Amino acid sequence: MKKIIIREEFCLGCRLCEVHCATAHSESKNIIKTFKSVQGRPLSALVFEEQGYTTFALQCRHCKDAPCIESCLTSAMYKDKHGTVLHDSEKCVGCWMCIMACPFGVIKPDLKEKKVGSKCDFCTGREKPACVEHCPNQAILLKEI
Amino acid sequence: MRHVIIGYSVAAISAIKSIREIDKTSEITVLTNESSVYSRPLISYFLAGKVKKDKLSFIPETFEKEMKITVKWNTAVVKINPAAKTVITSKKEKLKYDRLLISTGGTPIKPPIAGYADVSQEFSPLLNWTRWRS
Repeated sequence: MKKIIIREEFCLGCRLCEVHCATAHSESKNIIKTFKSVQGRPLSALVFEEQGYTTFALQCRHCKDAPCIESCLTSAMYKDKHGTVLHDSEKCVGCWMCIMACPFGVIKPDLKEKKVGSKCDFCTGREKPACVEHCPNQAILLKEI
Repeated sequence: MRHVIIGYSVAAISAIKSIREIDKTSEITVLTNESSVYSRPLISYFLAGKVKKDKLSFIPETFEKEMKITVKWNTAVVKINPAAKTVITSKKEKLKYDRLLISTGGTPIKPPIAGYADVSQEFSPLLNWTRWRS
């Protein structure tokens, strides 16, 4: 299975990963339309970590024994046949147990809809995840493990 | 070892998974008065029409086969005889067990609200609220 590898020593902290992640998951798939829409700035499915000079992007690790799936009351969080942890928002009741259980803190709540707001879906349908594709310094890589 | 589990929801499913972690061969029989597995928190979503019936389950379709369990649907337990270690089902069946787990869940309270008595029908089992929706 392919995994996203983070190399924080190469991260410049430009946050383009966040911008392109949000764009890739938007309706328009256009940066300007995504960020200047009436709904306001969308949530990206990755978490940008920053402390002092150390920065890096953290995405869902798609754990083998994912605690978010184990804690989901309705199986809205599930694993597909490729081992990707996905989220079905139709089934989500917004209990946010997945957010509590995630050891990486990469699931974000949607405070308005009271559901899970964003969660890395490994950019299903794209050849390469948007964060990997648009990282200018190869701080985020896709590797077969 | 023969395990008999009464009720088939979260507690029963967790118990089945835990038994299978340490014991792959024991016989597990599940007795339930319902006809499907469904997630309780989705009840209100189903009533509101936000979720379809086929999305109510929270276990994979292959769960029974994977866990090697026998599920007897629409089968309530009418009597437990702890001395003889047997249970008697609504279908007049007598089942022997070595270990019995009663995981039937709770009964929802009926709050004392005026007019509530007219509609005081619990939302589970599933049969009830399918009727409610229609």
